[in-house]
Amino acid sequence: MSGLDQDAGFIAEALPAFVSEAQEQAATAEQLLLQLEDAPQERDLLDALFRCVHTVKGSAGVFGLENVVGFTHHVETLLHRMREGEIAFTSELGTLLLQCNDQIRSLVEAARFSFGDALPADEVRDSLVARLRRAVGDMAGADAGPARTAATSEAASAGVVSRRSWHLSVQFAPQTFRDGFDPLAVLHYLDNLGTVQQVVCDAGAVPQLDTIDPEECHLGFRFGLETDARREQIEAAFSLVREDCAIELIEPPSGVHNLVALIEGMPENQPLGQILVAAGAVSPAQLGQSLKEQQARAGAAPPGPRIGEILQESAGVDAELVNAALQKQRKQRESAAAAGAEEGRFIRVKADRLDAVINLLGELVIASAGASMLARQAGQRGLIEANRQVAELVEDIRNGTLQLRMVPIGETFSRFRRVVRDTAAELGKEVALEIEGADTELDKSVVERIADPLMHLVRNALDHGLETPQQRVDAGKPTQGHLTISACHEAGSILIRIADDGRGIGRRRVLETAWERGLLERGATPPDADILKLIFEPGFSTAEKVTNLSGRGVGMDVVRRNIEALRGSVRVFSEEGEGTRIEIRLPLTLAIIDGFLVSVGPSKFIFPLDVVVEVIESRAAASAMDARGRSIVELRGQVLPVVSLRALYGLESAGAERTSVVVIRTGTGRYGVLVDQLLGQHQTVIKPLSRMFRKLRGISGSSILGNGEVALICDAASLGELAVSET
Amino acid sequence: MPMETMLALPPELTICTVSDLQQQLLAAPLPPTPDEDDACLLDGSTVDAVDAAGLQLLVSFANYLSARQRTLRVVGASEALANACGILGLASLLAPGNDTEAVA
Repeated sequence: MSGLDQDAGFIAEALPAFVSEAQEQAATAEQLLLQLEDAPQERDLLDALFRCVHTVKGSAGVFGLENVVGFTHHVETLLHRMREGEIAFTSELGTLLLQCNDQIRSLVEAARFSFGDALPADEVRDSLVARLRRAVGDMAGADAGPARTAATSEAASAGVVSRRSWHLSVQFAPQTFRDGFDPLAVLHYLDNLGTVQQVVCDAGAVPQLDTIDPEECHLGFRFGLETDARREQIEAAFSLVREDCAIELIEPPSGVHNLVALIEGMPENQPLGQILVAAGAVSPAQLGQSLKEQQARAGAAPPGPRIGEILQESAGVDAELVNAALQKQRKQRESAAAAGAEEGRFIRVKADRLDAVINLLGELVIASAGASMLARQAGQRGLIEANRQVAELVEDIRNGTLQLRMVPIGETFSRFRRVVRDTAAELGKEVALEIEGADTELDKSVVERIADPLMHLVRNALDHGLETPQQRVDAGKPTQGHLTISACHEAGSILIRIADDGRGIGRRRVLETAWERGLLERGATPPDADILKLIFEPGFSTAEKVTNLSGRGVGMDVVRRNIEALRGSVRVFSEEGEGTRIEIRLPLTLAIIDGFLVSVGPSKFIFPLDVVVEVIESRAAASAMDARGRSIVELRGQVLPVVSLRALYGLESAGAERTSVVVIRTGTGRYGVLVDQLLGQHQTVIKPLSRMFRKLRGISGSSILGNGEVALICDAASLGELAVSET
Repeated sequence: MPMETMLALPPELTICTVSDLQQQLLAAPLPPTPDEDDACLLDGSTVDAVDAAGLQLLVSFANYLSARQRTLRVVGASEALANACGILGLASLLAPGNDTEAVA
């Protein structure tokens, strides 16, 4: 029976959620596979991997996505054998599984649009399936001998697949229909999994037509299921509706040690009694009686005996089984605690709703600043105090809300593991990838937009930076190249570094290319730092061979442009023969910052408070300035280069008698900015500059002050460069 | 002698239509209890889309009739309806042999 009798509307609503969660599972699976390569013995990794694939298959099944189920089933079979220790994880299998994972991703993606349609025959997929089958067939054949004979002699042994008879009892909760589920689909799926026998519907429990609410579900079923599927697979059929129904899955009783094995294979988070009932060690009625007894005895003489003891004494459950169940519980609690500690509770939120809140917050900050200013003008103490409190609260909300958008950059970095692995293999290079500072957090939208530039830089390093093993040996280096990607917070920004120990950037080649392309006058040799900057010029590429990955010369200037669009900056450091390091600086947030407000004549400027080290107030005009408004100032025995904003931007107002200096720190040093007045701290909502003004150097955005005036936000790094540059 | 069917089940017998169908069934007059045969017949030949909510409604109707000394039979059940009843163990709702003529 193809297709399910389902309302297309329900599917259309639920399918996107399935697709996105399935893709998450696939992403996790990829990470696990990469980890397994380094630690092939880790049983936990294999278990977790199996669960990922298994979950995708189960959920796909309830949606009737035969294509996904069919393919995933083969992957699951291989993983199952690995879990049982029958097949060892090798790096060939690792590669195969990675490719299969990619296939699963595209199958899930295809389901988004062509739900239920049979996919056209696909060579890639077929060959993967063939390889999977071979892997399972060959390897299992060799070791299976003793295991197989032992299994056939016992009725039900947990590790071996054989046809068993299960008994299921399912009671669907009243909200099942409203939650969009259809018991018919669930039972139909089970019929595909094996043979459903003797379905009995608890019809008597359905209220009569005149009293029933037809949209409430009152259905319960008991039936037998003959299948060679494992318990988890059967339960997977209910994975979506699990919260909406009460399920009992019982196998007819068999020997104690089989049951112990069964208990160990059970699903998670069940009370002791349920574990034993599900194993068939005790019937539901007996459990009910035992629970009553427990309550009675606890009432009479608190705290009373534990349920396990009662089950042993009164219900005659074997002690060994109770112990196995207790062990299971303990393990569940431990893993739940570990998982809980790591993951915490999460809520899915739509990104644009969060953005809307942050926008409103920005407006709130501005409005609050306006109110504070009016309060100050009015001079009423009570009003000023009240506004101060409001401003404080607004600041707290601001910090909290902006935190919501922060994600650890490690998620992006992990993607690179796969890229590095595959690319290095393709190029025949040996590369060890190190990732540092993966839990450094930054704004979600920054993370998204930085991923592509970073990917390009990583590929460059692999392609052009790192040498082949032979070349490295010739150069006296170890055959394995090192690539380090790191992230950290520094001076109010986030600093991302990509460093390799490869051949470095050849200055000679860069110069020659620049001369050739007319970027530089032939024969001109600018200082080293400027030579390196040349690689960011459009159309520049010194790669002798344009490879698939890089070398087309469209890379570095686009990278720089993308980074600058994020109000960031990029610098290159390189030693020929030793390696290259690329440093990217990005602001921590795009939206709201703490700023320091200053004025030059009637114009207002804001410096991000993070970069302001100190202020030197009201000095008499500093030492002689050069034509570009630069001078120096002595600060505690050290020389500080200073730039005058007035001169730098050619502001026309008359110079002030007394000026102040704002000391700014950047990654590379400190400098001072000469301004007229210091106006204090200011919560700054950043409004991006429109296209027309993007080219303004030294300015990264604008902000609206409480009184409606516009202030320009200075970008510390580029202002500093502007100040020191020769041109 | 063929009995009159009380009502023809709609092509869609799902959560979307159960509320309406409930009203229809309650409003339709029950055939008087004949001596030999107490079956109320529903025509299931046009049923195209079924889900558990739809079948639950039939069960509910069957219980309702049973409290009034009648039984429910669905005659001429379409393939979709018959399959669904089979899966949920509700084949007893269907008239034996799926004849369009009830056995008098």
